[in-house]
Amino acid sequence: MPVLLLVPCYIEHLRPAIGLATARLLERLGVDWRYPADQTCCGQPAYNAGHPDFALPAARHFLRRFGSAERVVSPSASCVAMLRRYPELPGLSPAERAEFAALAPRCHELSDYLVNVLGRETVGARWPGRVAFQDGCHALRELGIAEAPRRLLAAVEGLELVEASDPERECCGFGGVFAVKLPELSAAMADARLAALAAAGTDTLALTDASCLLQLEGRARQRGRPFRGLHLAEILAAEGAAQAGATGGAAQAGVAGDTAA
Amino acid sequence: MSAPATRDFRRRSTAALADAELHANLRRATGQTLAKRRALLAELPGADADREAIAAIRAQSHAAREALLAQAKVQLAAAGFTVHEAADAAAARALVLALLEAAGARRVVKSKSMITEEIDLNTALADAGIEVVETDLGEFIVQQLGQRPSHITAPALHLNRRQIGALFAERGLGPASEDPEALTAQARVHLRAKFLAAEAGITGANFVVAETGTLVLLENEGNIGLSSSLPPLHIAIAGIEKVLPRLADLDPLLRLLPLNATGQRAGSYTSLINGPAPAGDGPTARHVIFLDGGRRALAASPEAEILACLRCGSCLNVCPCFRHAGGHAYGGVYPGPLGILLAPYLGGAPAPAGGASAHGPATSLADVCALCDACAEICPAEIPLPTLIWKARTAREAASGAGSARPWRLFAALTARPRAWRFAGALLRLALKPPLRGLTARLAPTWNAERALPAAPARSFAAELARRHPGRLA
Repeated sequence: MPVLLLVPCYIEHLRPAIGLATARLLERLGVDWRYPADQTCCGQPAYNAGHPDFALPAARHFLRRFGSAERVVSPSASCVAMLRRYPELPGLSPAERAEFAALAPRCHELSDYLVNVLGRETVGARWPGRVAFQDGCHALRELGIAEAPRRLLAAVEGLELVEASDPERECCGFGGVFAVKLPELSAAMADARLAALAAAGTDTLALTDASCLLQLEGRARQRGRPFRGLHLAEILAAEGAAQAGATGGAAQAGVAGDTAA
Repeated sequence: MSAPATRDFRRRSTAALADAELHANLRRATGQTLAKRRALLAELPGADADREAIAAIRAQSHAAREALLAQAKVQLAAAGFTVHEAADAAAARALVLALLEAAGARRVVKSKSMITEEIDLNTALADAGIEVVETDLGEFIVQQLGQRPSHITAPALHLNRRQIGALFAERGLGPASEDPEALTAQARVHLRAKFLAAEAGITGANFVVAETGTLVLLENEGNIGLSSSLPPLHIAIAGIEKVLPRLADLDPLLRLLPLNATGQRAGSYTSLINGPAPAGDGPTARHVIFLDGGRRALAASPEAEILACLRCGSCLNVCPCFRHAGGHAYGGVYPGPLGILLAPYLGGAPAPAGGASAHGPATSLADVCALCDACAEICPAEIPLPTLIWKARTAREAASGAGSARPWRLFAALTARPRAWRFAGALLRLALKPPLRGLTARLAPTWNAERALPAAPARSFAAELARRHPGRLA
């Protein structure tokens, strides 16, 4: 039975290169996968904003499209954390609640799937350079994912993994509606992460969530800071040539990732 | 768009962010406490078991609160305490004033206690012509400045030694210095005279043990010990949620409270007070005032679990909002994640009974949280703080009418209609490209003022996939 791929809406519409890298990686690993083309959004924006009832249509749509899957894999820890919360949504019928509860443990963030389901830590990737890793809050604290992405990165040929998370592993400042309601504070939180990156002696950051990536990239570009944000999938899919054209700032990295994919 | 409390927070936090010295003080002080805690945690393999034990004790205390409170009152009275209960802040202030007046006390020493901040006791005492001196060093410093504490266990954490030295010199407490030991000595000389002259001492209470009628007070500086033992009259004010069933319950609490509050293995002093002194050695009268002050209303609300809070302050230290904005940005008595939950009930106007109805837009800071979960991870009582903040946010949204729901109604409709969703995505990509990009930036000022808008790709992921891996579409 093929694995079903869930691609978050911000990757779908803003950074398709991450989705394509995920596809390329799964191809290379010989995973039988499918992409349900009429998927939408996990519903988390409404949920986080305090409107769980308006996350319900998204959850039901997800159940219709993904409910029969043996495994659901996503390059977004944040969305997977939302899928795992579906059984607690208000307004569910007992039957729906049971279906969501049964589906939740079959939904995996990409690094968790590779390491803990497939048992793969080496995926044949090559990426020469110094790369830092940023823990996403939902990955780290809701899903308990800290080791898997680091093991995968450490096994990438030529890659030197450094820690840029401060010991408190602080949030990048995105937080959904938080970034819009308190933009100055959100930006200060992003600045702290960018400063930690600079202190780690690199401008390349690997992340498991495109939402954190877009926040940090947007802030770095606004401030003219050197920054190259890469989703974990983009590094794991690379075979040595993909990063050759992207040596400059964030905009080039995004474009280069797109064309090289 | 935002609740007034959030707008006020935004204004105050933006000012705090512009103060580079304040920002550096906050980051350094919270970071140091977290580092000490982390180092010590490695030596404490039982911390997880302690957290579970504390959560169980607090749940039990919550479930049996009224019975435990009744038991505590009986045991405290048997030990010689005089016990009172105050329904609200005004009643508590009136009780304190009446007790001081009856004893003829005009000079009062006070130890740091958030509950006295909650009822704004110092203002009431000053208005009655009573001298009240804060004896905790951090609290003494903020009192000199006429400020509220910016942190619940480290009131002056927003200041550095240079600022404190300048303040002390200005107040004539001693020669200008930046040496913490010299500054502490200056405060000590000043406070010693105040302790000796005081006719009453006022403290809070970390816990009250129902089984034995014991007040439990933790500290590092010895000032609580002096405030509660030197003057002839001792008044302790305790929230009704502070009652513990048994003396044995202190075991995990006395380990994790200092660990989380200050990164210490134990508090320097732990006072267990079992009533007035029998023969003139210490206060001849001890009073305990139990304060409701919104706690019973909170106990009936969806956020009732916050009553298990030990007031260690570790959720403040680890909260990225607090670490950048500081405590004063929250505008109330209690800052940080715990403050967001307590503020609608404690330290303000009396909250209406009945839970969610207490959340007015005027009192909700529920948007001041990125839902990062760091506070839940560190909380020694295992309180699910972000979940409770999210519940408060949900209640606030439900109370604020159809306007706040409108965009989410549209969002919900789109998420159930794949073709409409794709179309909305195509519009978004179009809006991010010239010639519309500049207009979009102007229409999205709260995003764009601080961050550059993302670049728009030529095609969506689904469209690219259809070109490259058509067989994989399902």
